[in-house]
Amino acid sequence: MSATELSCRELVELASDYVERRLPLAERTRFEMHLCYCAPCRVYLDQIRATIATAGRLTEDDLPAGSRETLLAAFREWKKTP
Amino acid sequence: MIAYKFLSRGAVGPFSGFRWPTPDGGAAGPWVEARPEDGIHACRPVDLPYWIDEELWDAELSDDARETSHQLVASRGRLVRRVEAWPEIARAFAAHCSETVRARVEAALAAGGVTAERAALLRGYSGDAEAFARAGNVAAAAFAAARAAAVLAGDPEGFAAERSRQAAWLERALASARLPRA
Repeated sequence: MSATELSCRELVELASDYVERRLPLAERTRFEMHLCYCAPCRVYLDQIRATIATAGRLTEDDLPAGSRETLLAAFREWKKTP
Repeated sequence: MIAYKFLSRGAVGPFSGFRWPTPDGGAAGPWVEARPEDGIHACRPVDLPYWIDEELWDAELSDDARETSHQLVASRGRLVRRVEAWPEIARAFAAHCSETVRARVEAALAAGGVTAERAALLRGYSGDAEAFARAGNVAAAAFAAARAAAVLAGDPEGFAAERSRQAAWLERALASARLPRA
């Protein structure tokens, strides 16, 4: 792979940073060049954007009763594991 | 500075989603000012194969335009005219990429000395280029041809060399399209 190419795997790792506009210009350029020829990655990026847009509309009030404690318990367990 | 600018259908920025104001009655479109962290992006001829999209426009950039990796960036830009010949050139370009890579792969395989693994890669890229060209996916056809070129060269620089060759082909085709017809 040439120095300017981004693999699909690399794009996936950078997708959140791209959507949140945290990539420097050179990296953003490589990212967008990849999108020009890779339809699956364009679909993936659309899904990321849709997920962020949907999640951004959720509030704590949207959680069913009991979900908050379930989620907090899950996060506590996750933090315990190395 | 006049440069090329690729846009998606309806003069929409493929990454920003911004709908560009288009020229009206022969006059260039209004100037668009970018956010400082974004910039207005456009292509030199050498950049064309990397940014292929549905519409190609001549665009004017402000005097602060600077060259970056594979593009020009300026603080302001405006659309001057649409390159009406682009769809036809794009189809011909895709077919050219597909035919070129098929011929080079066939020649390499006929010459012998290609490992089974490389042969499979080359046949794959050649098949991909043909399928993409047939489907009208010009950018992907050109990319597959460039990947094949890297494998043929045994060197990632083969990719850049093929992209340069593609850029030269596009530049000639676009220049030819602008000539007055006899």
